[in-house]
Amino acid sequence: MRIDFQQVCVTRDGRNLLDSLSLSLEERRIGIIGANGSGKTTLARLCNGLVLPDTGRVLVEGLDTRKEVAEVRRRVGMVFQFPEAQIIQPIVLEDVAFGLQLRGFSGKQARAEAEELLRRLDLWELAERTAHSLSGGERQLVALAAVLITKPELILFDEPTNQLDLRHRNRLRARLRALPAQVIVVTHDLELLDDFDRVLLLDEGQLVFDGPPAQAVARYVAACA
Amino acid sequence: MLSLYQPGQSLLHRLPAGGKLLALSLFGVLIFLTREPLVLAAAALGAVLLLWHLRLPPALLLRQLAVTLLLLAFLVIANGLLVSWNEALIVGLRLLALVAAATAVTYATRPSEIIAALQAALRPLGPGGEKAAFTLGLVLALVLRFIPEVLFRIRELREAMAARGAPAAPLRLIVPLAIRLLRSADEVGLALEARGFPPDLTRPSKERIEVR
Repeated sequence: MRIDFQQVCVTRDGRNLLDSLSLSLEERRIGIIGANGSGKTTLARLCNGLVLPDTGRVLVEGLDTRKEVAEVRRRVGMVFQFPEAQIIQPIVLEDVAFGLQLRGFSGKQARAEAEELLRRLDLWELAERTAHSLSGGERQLVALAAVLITKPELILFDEPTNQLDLRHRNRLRARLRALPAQVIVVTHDLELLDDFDRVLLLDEGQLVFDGPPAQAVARYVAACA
Repeated sequence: MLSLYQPGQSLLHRLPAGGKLLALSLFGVLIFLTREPLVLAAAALGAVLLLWHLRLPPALLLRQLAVTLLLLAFLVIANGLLVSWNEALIVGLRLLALVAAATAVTYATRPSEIIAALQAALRPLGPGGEKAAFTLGLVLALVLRFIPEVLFRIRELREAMAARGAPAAPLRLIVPLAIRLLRSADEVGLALEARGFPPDLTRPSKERIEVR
């Protein structure tokens, strides 16, 4: 999937969150790094129309996020930084099925698909749990399942390992590697990006480096020293 | 995310949610049509047996029903002292029957099945019924979702205040609680959008999703 940013500016409260950004993203695994407030989350949210540019435009496979946002969101899934926000239904199985119900599947069909997916992802033991009883790591994996069920072409991850212990971090990392979909990951977990195809480094709303992970990370570490 | 539902394979678990809700409603009406203590005792016993057949851990039941049972005991004693002990018996048996039956249905029915049954009942009511029913279901799910979050946030704020040595007076909690809940509601709204809300119920089902 190709995403084009054309002269994109995003301003909030008089501050430039992103400043005249132009680039195209096509690689299968893309990382976004940078200090807090550098515009990472804004850049990711532009890809599914949760943030709209003040000037310029964002095209997802040629679809303008301003004009065709519903179609864009059918094709682009997102795992939020705090996955509890995106868990809507009281029971895990129901929440995973919910994404399909939003797309017109009957409750029965959606449930059957959700059951199959949870078994495939080795999360079946969580199916009947209430969402608030899950640990942070379990929530992250459930949130991912809830996105995967709609089979998006691109999945955005906003700091996916932020609240995870080492076991869940490794589990999520393995899951990320195995995903057939294209992914864009916003993260402070630099190791996560080791085998990514491309990493963008942002600083105060500007793209300051765009290239292979090792060089991007080295540049970032040097800038923070 | 609050739910009393407990997974299980009992007969009550397997019955359709719509039927259970209808039966519960009828049961609730019928026990108010009689004042015969023997009939009410039979109804209460039946409801308690229904709850018992779910084989739930007694500690769980006690923890979740403690407040309700205390309230029930208070109402029985108040009726006994203020009206008559016969009236207290009738009130007590009625409420016990109702609480036990409703608890059994709640424990044995997924919230989504309850919501789906309510949606099915509302769907034929008018134009745009499907969309209205979906929205109602979502509203109910969100209410269930936010109850434990509010409780969690209150606990979190109390602990934060205690850690800083401030007394956790309820009035002091209101503003920070409201701010946190508004932020949380904002995130939930964004997540709903990202997941595809509002639903597209207008397209023919084949076009609704093309599995990639």
